[in-house]
Amino acid sequence: MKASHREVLAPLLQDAVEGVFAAYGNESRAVEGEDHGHNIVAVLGFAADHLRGGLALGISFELAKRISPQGVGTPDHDWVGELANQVLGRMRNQLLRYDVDLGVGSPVVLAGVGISVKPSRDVGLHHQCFLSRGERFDAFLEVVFEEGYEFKAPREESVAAGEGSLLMF
Amino acid sequence: MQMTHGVSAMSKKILIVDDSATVRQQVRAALEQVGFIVTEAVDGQDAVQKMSGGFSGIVCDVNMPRMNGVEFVEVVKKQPEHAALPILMLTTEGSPELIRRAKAAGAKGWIVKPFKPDQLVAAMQKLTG
Repeated sequence: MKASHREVLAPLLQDAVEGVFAAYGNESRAVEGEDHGHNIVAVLGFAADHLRGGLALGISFELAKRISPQGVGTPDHDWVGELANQVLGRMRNQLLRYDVDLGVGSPVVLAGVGISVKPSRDVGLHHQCFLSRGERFDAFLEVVFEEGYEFKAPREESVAAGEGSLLMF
Repeated sequence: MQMTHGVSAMSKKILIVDDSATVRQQVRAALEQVGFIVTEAVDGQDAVQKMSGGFSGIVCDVNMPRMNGVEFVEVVKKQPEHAALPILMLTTEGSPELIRRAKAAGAKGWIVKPFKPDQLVAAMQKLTG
């Protein structure tokens, strides 16, 4: 990923992950670290004019259990998929400021032992490690841009409805 | 009978449309707590097939496989017997273009996830009251 693309996307990814986790009462913070493999990996594809890619969220069984809503009775895997969906949703809403309108797929969730995310193309994989409740987890972003594409300067104001907003028509 | 904000939800049936089982359960828990009766659908196509359930309102996600939430609203509102049914969108999406499209199709409200259960309940009580 080019430095100019990473400069836009890396902070959006970090803010989105920390924001979504905080919204459910789970503080998290970005830390240095390598990808050591995961038990649950949720992946979403996306596309817009001039770019396409994927976001992945990798997490351990233990952390998934700790952050999943209690008493709901659904698998923790499903919640990890929804968290990845909400992370990408936040990024999507912020990217509207750059006139980038992402179309987003449905989350696919894989479970296993030591699932490690590697780049699928020669475009560079952005990886950010986080810490929450004493456990590491990782977010990955891989984006292929049309040759020569650069993000526009962002608008000052967000154009999207904010998280938690209620609009009645 | 449980009352919140002066409106009884008892015996009113709500259809929840979301491809996440966890979100469906969260919405179900919030609505059942005030007396709504809840049915679930996993996407727009599944919801279309369940529309004969005598619902008073619908809570609907946007990004779903097979038929997304805005397409679902467009389909439902073309059916005369369901044209007046209030539909509340519950989604990560905040795009003004999508919101305009859903409003034009006949949706009555839009909540951007993460949602507060009280906010969702109050909106559904208002829409179905």
